[in-house]
Amino acid sequence: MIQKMFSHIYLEKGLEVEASKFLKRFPDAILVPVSHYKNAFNSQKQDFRLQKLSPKLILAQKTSDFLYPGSHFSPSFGSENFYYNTLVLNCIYDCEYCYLQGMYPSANLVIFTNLDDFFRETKLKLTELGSLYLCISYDTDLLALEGVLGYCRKWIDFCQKEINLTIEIRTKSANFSAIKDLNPPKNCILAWTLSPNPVIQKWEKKTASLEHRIQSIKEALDFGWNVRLCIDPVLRYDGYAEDYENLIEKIHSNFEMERCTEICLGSFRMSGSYLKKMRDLLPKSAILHYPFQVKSGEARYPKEKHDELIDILQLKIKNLSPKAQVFVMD
Amino acid sequence: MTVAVCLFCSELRERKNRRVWNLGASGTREIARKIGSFYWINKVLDLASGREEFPSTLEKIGNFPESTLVTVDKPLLSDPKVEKIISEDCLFDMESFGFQVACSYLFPIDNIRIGKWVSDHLHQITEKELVKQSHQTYEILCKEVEKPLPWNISSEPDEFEAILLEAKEMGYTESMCFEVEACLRFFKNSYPNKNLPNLPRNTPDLALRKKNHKKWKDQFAL
Repeated sequence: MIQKMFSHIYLEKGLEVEASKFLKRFPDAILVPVSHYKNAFNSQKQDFRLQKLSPKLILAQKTSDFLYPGSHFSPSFGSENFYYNTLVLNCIYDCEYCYLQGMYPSANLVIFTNLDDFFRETKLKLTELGSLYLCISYDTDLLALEGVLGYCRKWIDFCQKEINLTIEIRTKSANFSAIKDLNPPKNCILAWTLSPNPVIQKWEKKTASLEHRIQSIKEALDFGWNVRLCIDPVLRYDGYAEDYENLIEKIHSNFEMERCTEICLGSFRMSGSYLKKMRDLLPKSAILHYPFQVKSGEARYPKEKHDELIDILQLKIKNLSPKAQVFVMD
Repeated sequence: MTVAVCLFCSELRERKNRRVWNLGASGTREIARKIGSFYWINKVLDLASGREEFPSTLEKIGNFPESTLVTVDKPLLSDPKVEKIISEDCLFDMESFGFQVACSYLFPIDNIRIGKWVSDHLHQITEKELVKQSHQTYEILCKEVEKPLPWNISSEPDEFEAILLEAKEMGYTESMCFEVEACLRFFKNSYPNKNLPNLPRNTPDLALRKKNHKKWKDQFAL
């Protein structure tokens, strides 16, 4: 029998108090001491796919690299000082196309518990640069974990005080209810990744349905939050164009897209080395074995295919919501 | 231990879907752990090197408690200093770390488990009691080890092998071969009921061969 999710909590020394909080949430979890989280997380020969059947929690302290410069695979939306952080490594969802499978040796979730150190380093960076655009939910889905961690709430509170900081919280959850009692700060953007239902059902396992995500977005907009829509990555498969057009129609039938700060469009793209690893992990995946063009270590759809899919989406958005701000990732 | 694992492996035809367990005796200082009680091991520390290994906890097998374990290179009974160093409530043995490391090279990591009975409290081995208490557990474990794993690691023959061999014989570069394999997998995974496409006709002209390959590859791009 496969163990339950989070059946074990691996913890670095000194984090016993933190662990007790998690034990309240997962009372049957077994605690395993670890001298450094990397001993468990980076251990060789782990099977990422099998671990996804029963991911474990690893509680750790981050001691360096509290901020990373934004990757060119991700949009900066014109912000000069684009950074991201890694409060949690890995995600509770299981998207077939997710780069985390190529990036990490383990599917277990590492949770860094020393938030105060992250806040301190962020303040220092703000002092150094004057302003900061910080994505806090890139290598994980923080809002999906809000019931367990409460990190979004703390970061929203932090950015209320730091007016030169803009944070983005990206999610595929429908968990707005976890933060809806908070006052929406102007410098916080809730970014929802949206995909057509056939994509969610086939390739975004365990994520919220499109209907639930849209419901969450509507609620966030009604409560006055800045919302960004991310239709990214757009995937090519038989019938993709119709599915993505239906997606735009569905969004439009639920709320006006111009109410969102922007709609970000991007096609599948990834580091070539991650893709290679993921193809080995998932030899039966059709979307990962697409004949991408690999140039300068990056795998992408051929340009004309990228342009085609972006044009379809842009045209549809323009027809339904001409004033919506559309941002396209090249 | 490495030699023992290798010898064991040489007897096996198939390793991908086979359980490989090290079951044995261990000591502990914790009196509350009764002689004959059984534990699955979730962490092994090698006292000599300080290295840690974390045996898989993916599968729940039986309703046994778990423990951490320290592998030492000499009996603790004879070395009170070493005994003093270790203050944790854990088990001690002399083989598990080597077993875990050696097996990890030869078996999928999640197939490897370590289980230990408490044989003594570092003072005296009470063999009779151990045998009596562990007999029942042993019977349960013997049944469990034969059960198929709750997951299956595919060991199906590579259906693209013949085409890839043909590509190599045609002088395709390594990167072209990778592309061929990806295209074939993409096609097979997208259209499982269709026949695999043939490679383009061979030509001695390298430039033309590359051009034909690109054309062949592009047909898969939806």
